Amino acid sequence: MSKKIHVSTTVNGESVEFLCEARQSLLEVLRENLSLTGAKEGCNNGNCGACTVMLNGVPVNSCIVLAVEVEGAAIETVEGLACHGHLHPIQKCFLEGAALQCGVCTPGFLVTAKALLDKNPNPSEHDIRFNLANNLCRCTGYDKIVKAVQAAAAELQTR
Amino acid sequence: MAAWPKEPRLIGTKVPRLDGLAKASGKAKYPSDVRPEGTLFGVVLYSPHANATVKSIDTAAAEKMPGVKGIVVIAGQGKKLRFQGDDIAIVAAETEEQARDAVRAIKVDYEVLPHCVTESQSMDEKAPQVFDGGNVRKARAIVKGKPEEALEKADVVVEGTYSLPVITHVCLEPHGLTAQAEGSSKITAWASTQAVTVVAGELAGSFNISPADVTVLTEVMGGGFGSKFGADIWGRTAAELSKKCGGRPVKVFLDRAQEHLAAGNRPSATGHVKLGASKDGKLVAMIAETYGTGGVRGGSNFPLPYVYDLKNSSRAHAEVSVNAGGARAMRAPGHPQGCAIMEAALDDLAAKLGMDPVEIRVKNLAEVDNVRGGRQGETINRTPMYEAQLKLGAELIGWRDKYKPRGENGKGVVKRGLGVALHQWGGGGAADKQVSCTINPDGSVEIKSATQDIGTGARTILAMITAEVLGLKPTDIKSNIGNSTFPPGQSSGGSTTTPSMSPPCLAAATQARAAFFNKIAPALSTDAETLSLKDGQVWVNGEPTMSWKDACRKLGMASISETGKFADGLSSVGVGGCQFAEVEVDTETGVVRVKKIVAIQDSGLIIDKLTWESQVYGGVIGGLNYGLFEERVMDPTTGVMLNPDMELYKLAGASDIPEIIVRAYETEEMKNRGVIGVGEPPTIATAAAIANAVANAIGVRVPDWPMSPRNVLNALASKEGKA
Ligand code: FES
Ligand code: FES
Repeated sequence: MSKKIHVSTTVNGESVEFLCEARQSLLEVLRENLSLTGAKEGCNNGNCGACTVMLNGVPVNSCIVLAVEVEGAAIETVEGLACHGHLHPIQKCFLEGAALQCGVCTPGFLVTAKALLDKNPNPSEHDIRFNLANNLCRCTGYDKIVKAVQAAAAELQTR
Repeated sequence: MAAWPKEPRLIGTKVPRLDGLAKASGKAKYPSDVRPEGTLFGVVLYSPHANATVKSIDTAAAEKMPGVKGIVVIAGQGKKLRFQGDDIAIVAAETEEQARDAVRAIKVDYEVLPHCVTESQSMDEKAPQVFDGGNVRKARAIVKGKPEEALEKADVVVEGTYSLPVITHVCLEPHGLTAQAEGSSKITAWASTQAVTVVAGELAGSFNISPADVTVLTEVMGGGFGSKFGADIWGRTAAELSKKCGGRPVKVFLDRAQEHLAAGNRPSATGHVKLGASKDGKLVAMIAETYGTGGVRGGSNFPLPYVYDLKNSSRAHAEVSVNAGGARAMRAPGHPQGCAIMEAALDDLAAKLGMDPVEIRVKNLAEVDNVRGGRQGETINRTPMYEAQLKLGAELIGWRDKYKPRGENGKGVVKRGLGVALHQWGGGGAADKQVSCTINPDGSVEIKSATQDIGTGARTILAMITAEVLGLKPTDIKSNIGNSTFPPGQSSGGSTTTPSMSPPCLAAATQARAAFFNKIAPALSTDAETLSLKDGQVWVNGEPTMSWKDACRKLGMASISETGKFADGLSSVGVGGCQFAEVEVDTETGVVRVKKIVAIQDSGLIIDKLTWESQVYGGVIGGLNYGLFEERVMDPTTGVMLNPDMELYKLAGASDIPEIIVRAYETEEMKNRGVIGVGEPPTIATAAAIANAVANAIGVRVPDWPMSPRNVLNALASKEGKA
């Protein structure tokens, strides 16, 4: 068996250390070692976006990031979006706007949308569609997802 | 007699799904997230060949690998492997990596045999046989009237060959389950399934125990679309491995490649069609020879003629076997294929006659097209409904202003076009399902049934109905489903869940309310008849008198629990619908962009407008995917699938989505029919409407789906004689 490697990082604001094999993906470590199952495995190949997390503020497909690469990095997962039991406006708008059905794609969309709004608080519809293009959903038809992100942007602006 | 409330507070409103909070916070535990203490990971070894025999298999080295706890061989020495992706063995190990390492260490010696993976390969006379007895099974033609004679006399006839490829389900959560065996007598499984009871039955069968000793749990799950009804060989093997490994839970979920290869697909469909009409556009006859492949499983037949009135028709279908994964039901099985072929031929006929596509459709609806009304014995004629839907849809897409006859869409490179298609579906309920409703002294209310929510909103709908009857909010109700040990519930398929589960839910809540009134009336010094429930209050003679919670306290120690059964008059079957598409086609690149879709759908009484609408949007996008992108590509030479991933197997993303207008056709007459399912119908007509819009735009039929650049450019080339 390959030797385990020690990695220290920050996950949702808390410092976390773990031991992993060099070949393990960040997604696998999040789900298996850290029991953070919010990020999902849809393809394990970088194509569906279900595993999206933020790495130093940038959305990445965690299935194609090696866990050892995150040494010293700050990771944000869907579990970190809500604050003290209060949903983030993006989550609230997804929920109220029926932007999710089976919901397996939802964590990836939420994290991607958060990354977009952090960077661009006032995105056009085109910006939203463009930025969400790496996240696939088989159930909703995207329309309500785009509207939910627009609603969340509007709500964040009034704060 | 059972009836839906005349003036509902909740039914027909928009209620967000009850599991939305857990899903939006990342806390919802999908079956693929569940990992009980001590879980082992199972990885499947599957066939790399399209056709082979296992000469020998040696697991000795793999057994000794680090972390390996058990191996079950599914296809041992001498077994046939009939497609790439066919299961050979499953390894259970402490970690996923260790299981993968061990899978690689299993030594299999294959005798590789000649294969056929495409229909044309398989239909060749010299093709190797997929099964003994031939690759093509042709059924006798189903003949109505005198089609040959009628076609002779027709004023105008069109002839064409249309085809749709095999596509796969691509549920975002893969197939699989985690199983935990307690000796040989009990199993618990966390399964990503559309039918907890079917999975329980299958696991019970393989252990030879009673289904009551199996608990299948599906709190939430990530999509099925018809492909997730059973435990499957990998699920049964997970249970076997758990038993072998002393009861440690074993988790087996497929990887994305095997999802495409082995976990189901929609069969292909090709139709050679002759369609004749009189000068005024009235259809007189259709003769169709069709074939399709469901891989090694069959099931490629589909309805044709479709929707329209044909007094003379002949239809012969041939089932073609190929060395590829077996077909499974896929959202409205058969209908998108039948719809696409029928609607394309009808549109080509309209173009030849110079007739308006909407007009020709209205003209060819049957005078009487009866489906079930609200109660047994009552009927309702679908034809006026289709007419009204077409009128509304035409208005919403702007047909009158925008429609130009085929090929008259300007001289520019990018051409716009409009198309339309009609569909139909059943969507009725099963009469043997049950729901229990429990009212507790602390005021909590729980309903239970062994159905499940596959993303449709079933959980929310049951809570809404219960809350309606008890004067509470949907969030006050614990809607407990996804457990096979609960009262018998419906599988989530065929758009049957809501019509099956709503009637027993209404009955359970109504019975529980009656029992509740009887229990608390004495404490309120009144008769049960004077009591009613509204706004979280118990009302006596129309006056709010006591809060729900306080009243429940009067129950003392004993909860009330009632089980409701199905009743006639609350649900029905048989829907129609129409869709319009507006597209833009770049005639240089062949790229099609859908600009707008209008979807009009009836489905009786709608319980939750929000989840109903979501179902229609999702159905339309499914149809847009079949229309523009999806296609399983097989390599005839090597016999393998060339796009078993989510990159080269194309699916629409957020930037491919047009404006979508969804309208419910929900007249009083429709509401009186009761509940009908909506999961499937809205996905049927989209691909047909898009293809008709493309033909309208570019002036030539693209006979092969999807409307990909390659297929569009091929059609344009054939028009210019360059093909
Ligand atoms: S699971 Fe990572 S992109 Fe699909
Ligand atoms: S909600 Fe099911 S995949 Fe997006």
